[in-house]
Amino acid sequence: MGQITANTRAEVKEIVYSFFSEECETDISRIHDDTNIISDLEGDSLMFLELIEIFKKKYNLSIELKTIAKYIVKHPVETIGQLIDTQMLMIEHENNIVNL
Amino acid sequence: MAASIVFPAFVNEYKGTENRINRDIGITFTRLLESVSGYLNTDLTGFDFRRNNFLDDELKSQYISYIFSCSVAGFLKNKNFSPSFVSGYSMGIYAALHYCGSVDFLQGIKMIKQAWEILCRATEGGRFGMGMIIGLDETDLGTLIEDRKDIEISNQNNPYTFILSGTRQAIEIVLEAAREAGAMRISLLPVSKPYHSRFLKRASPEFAEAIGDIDFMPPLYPYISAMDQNMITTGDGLRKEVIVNLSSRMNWMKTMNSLVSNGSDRIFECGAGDGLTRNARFIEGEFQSFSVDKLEKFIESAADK
Repeated sequence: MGQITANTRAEVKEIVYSFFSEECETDISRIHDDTNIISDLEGDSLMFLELIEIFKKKYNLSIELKTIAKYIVKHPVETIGQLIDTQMLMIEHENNIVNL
Repeated sequence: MAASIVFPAFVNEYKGTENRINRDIGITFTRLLESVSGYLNTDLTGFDFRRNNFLDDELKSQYISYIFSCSVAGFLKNKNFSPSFVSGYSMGIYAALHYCGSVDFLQGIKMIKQAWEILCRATEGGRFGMGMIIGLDETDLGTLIEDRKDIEISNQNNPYTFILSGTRQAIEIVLEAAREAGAMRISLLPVSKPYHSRFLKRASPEFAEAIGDIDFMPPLYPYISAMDQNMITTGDGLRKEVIVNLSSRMNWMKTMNSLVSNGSDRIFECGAGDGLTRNARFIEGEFQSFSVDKLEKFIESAADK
């Protein structure tokens, strides 16, 4: 399991905000937790995959994409805030996320 | 270090701003639309990027994609830009061959028309299609299709994205099974032909005969095969490539790997859309990828080198 510290959420948030700011060529000040990834930022599923890879490497996570996908089917991610929540659960629970 | 040009497949959706990317490209595109309309006796001049009004006509969509790619390619040529390598994603091969100087513009149009007519005959009486699965690996995917003779993997875009070709029914069944197995995303592609699969094998000899009168010139720039990643430098090699392209499995991930390992540090997607550029994020190596929206940046980067 990844180590969750007091700073982890802030760290995850910073990575997610910076990632979408760069990928979607949007000023970071225009991104908020309730920003819709698809309709507001024109994001796509490949971006989501890329972010997962970033977090897998950063936190040395052992988690399969299909496990995350199964979780997301039950808990759809539409906003930046929901994405951050999901990344936090990934770090905390890794493959057990599917049992949540 | 080097820049490479890759040509996307037939585009199914336009942003609506393509004809405003560059004035010269817009003018060329309009002129070529008129030229092709006269050549084919089919009116393409009513095409509007904002309305996407030919989306329900696969063949017209193919012509439009080819014409736009050739318009952008012509702009690069006028800038005296000279790439180190060229490759074509799927049916992007036709515009790539024209850019390489192997065939002229109308020969490319003729090949698209002939391929389409032959493929229609080859698939007559059946319903076929293609699908995309993101988020499963090849082993998982192999398990889903291992006992099926009506579907096969026809391309791999990146470690997580595979394209399937087969009967429409099989595609729909396997896509749904993939979703159940944990695919991040599944989608039915808006095409009616199972490109890059054995289901089109019988079309290849007929296509070879149909294009027999075209004299393929040696390419001005080395062409990297999307099928086996060989470097093609002869006209005959390109003729064989365009024939097998219809019914052979491709591997775009390996093609991109090959471009990068051969020293490409900038890769430009020469056509509408940005699918190949987005996909490039999952290709390993130090390189930059540019879609047509970033044409000016790409030109500037070429000037800097």
